[in-house]
Amino acid sequence: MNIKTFVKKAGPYVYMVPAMAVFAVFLFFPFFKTIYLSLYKTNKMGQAKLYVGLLNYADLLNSPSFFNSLLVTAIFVVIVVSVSMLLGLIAAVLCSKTFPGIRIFSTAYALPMAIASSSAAMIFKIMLHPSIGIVNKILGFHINWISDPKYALACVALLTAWLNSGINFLYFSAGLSNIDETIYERASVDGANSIQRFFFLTLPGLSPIMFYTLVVNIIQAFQSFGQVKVLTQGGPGESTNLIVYSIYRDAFFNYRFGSAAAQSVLLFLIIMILTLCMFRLEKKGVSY
Amino acid sequence: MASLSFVNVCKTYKNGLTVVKDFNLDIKDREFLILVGPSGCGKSTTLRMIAGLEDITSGELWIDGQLMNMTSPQSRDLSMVFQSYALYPHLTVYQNMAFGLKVHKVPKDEIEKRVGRAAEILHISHLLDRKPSALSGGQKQRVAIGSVIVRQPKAYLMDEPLSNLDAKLRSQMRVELAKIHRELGATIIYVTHDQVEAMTLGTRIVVMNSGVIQQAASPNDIYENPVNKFVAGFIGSPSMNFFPVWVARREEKICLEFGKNKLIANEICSKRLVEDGYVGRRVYLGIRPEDFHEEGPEEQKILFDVEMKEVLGAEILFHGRINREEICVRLSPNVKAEPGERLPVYVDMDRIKLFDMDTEQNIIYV
Amino acid sequence: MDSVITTAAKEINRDELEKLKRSATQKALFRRRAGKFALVIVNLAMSIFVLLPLLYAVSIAFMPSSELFTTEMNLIPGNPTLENFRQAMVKIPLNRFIVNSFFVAGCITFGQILSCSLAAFSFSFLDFKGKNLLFMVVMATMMIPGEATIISNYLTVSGLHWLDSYKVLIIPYLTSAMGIFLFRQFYKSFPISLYESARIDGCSNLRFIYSILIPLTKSAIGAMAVYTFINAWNMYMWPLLVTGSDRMRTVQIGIGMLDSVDSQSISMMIAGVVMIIIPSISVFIAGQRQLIRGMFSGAVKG
Repeated sequence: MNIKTFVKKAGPYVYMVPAMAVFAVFLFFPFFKTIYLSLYKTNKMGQAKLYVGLLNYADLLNSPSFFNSLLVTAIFVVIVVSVSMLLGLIAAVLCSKTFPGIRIFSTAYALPMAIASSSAAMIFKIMLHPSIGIVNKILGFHINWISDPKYALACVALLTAWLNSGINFLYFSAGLSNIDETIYERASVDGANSIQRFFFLTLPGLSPIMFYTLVVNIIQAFQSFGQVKVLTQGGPGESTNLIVYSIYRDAFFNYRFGSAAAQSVLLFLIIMILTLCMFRLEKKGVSY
Repeated sequence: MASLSFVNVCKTYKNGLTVVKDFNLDIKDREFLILVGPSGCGKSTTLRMIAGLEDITSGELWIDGQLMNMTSPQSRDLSMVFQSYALYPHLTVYQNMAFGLKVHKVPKDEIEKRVGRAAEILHISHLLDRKPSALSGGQKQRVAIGSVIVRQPKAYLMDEPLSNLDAKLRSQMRVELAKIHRELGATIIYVTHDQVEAMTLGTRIVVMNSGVIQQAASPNDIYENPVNKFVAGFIGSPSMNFFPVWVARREEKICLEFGKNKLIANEICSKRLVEDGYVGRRVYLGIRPEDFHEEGPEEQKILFDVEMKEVLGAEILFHGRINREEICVRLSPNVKAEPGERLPVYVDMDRIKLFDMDTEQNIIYV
Repeated sequence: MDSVITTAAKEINRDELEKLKRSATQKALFRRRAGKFALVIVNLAMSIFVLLPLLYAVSIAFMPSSELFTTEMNLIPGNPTLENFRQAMVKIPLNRFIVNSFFVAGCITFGQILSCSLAAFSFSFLDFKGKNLLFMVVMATMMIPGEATIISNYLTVSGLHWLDSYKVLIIPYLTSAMGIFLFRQFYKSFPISLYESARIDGCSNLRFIYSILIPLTKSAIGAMAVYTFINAWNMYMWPLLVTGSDRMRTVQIGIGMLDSVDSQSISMMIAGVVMIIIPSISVFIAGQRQLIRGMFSGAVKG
């Protein structure tokens, strides 16, 4: 094969080089390296020193701390996903029919998606401040929200829900606009009032986008980090020790890279299984 | 079933565009009334005003003696078939048809009965469990009609329901619709741009143009006695031929002259032309393609240059020019003439129409 | 041929008829306007609820710290001041952080647009062995969550002595599977003849990309630029791990240096937070229509 044909054949691949190089070095390689690391105990520099096979996994599955993380993460995800989807849905419905000023309101509802989790967390820290925070002032309590193991998780979850409501608003707005207008007209002539039209037409019409939004929300909720680091650092008493934060702590405070890697792998498996289950369920769900 | 009344209804959009002007019409119980006209003439808008989907800018709409201008669509007790069918995509055919009944709180067994019967009439009983995405165009259209006939509203509204179907299906559905009208004894208000549909289906036709009613009469009346040039040209296929002619008095007879052709008007036409002062002026002469004959008296003869011939089996359509005007003539297959030849044809002078050049009104309108 | 209806209508006194019409019209119009009005009010309430954290932050940022610690509800600063902002800029090298973030976010945005559009070009217009397999591999990367790779990535870059530099912040993020997907969807809407005719005219691939494809892709590029910039600006976990010096910190990490709970610092901290939120919000507001159109151009479906 001479130079010319080689260049011609290689051509297409050349355009992929920048992207694939980055993927290879920073996505594929570390992914496998993480799996590799999870089978070892490491030194403080992260070098794999002692092969222990599945010991790290066994330790995790026997540790109450890990199960606590799982539980806390599960509760967290449930709160985040349900609240943020509800907020997004309400906002989208409020903006479905045009009215003066709708542009401004749409921007407002979508805004949270532009805000960093750490920035938002700092604002929420002050909002939840026991003495000067607006939450206590409005509700008339004196609770120290983020220092109380009963409430800390809910606070972090609500903060995350707020952050995610913006993108959900956009998804649901798009879903609403995909619904054919004429079926509303037909339903009107058929005698349905606006409440009936909402439940019989709008909600079913949103179900395809709802599935997609749900999956995206869950995956994103599992990756929440900044809020925890800034607001509660996993506490008080591990009540907000989400899996991602636990991984961070294990790796960078305890220098137990092996164990942290094992947690990463388990987290990855959990997300995979959840996603697969959801796809299975969707096939059985509302079809068009 | 109900009667409707439009009194001086106008519809103007916010940007100033008036799409319906001075609409006055009484629709009687059990009529199959058809609104027909070219695109943009305001017929769909009028239908939507009846349904309540469009506001009435001025004028009154009465349904069964009640003023309905501001009533919401859901309280008007009407039923509508949309051009795009508007089937609920997440419901089965059965549920689609049952929807209106469910909303009106009709008991379940009654719903089953009515949907079953409608499905039978429309031959869609085998489709009841399917979703709209699994239906063909013709099937969707039947479901849309089915959804409407299960109810017993004051009137049925249909907005170009057949326009998305192929020709064969369309003619089949026309027959079905006529049957439904008879069996249900329903008041149907139907919109179409297809004048063939209008003529075959309607008990009364309302021809509209640019938002204004041109003529409201039975199909026969509209065909025989069009009120103006627009209606005459719109109804009838192939459409009427129009020629500008001079009205001249030659030896006590009134002649219509164009180019080398001279036609002698009959008594009725002559009388009207003289009385209304058209002698010495120009008018439009309208002759339908089917009103030409192969033979006849010399004074009814005209010659034209054949440019194209369409052989339709039972008849032939000759297209050509006469005096630089286009002409279409329908004759029996016996006539042998080829493109490039000159063909003499004989005008049935009792069936011609005459229209004022400026107002385009039918001079001999009854 | 007057129908029964019109005769009946004419029998009613013309005045009464007008009155009937007017009252019905007025009632309906009122109901409609009231509905619209209620919608505006509800939206207003809802958006204030949604924006509450931001509005609160802005209010605190302008409030002199002495006003903070009162038991009354003070939402609007009595004596608005810029002092908090000034102090925030002084206490920490916020300028440096902002410059860093702009530089990093800008490079990432530019780099992603470049690498993704090139890769997508290859997928859409060229034919080569393993194209479909490679594309599936790229899509599969979207399934790998950050946690699965972040530890190893850290170990990699620390081994390369890249820590605490611009390259460690930028290079790992120079491409994105979502970006490739977005561009590919966009390119699919172009007829292949666009490319073929350019080739027949003797246009090289690069020339085609540069002079024909890119100008046509402006809206997708716009959408991606907005999205990528905002995400890059908001990055937290990775910069936290790989940068440590004041010189290299980005805004999100740097602002943490103001984090504390005594009254003077709170106002300062919030003022700092407000300052670093402004760029991302501005980019969002300016580009939201582009962003939305780009995100949903593929007709999102389940």
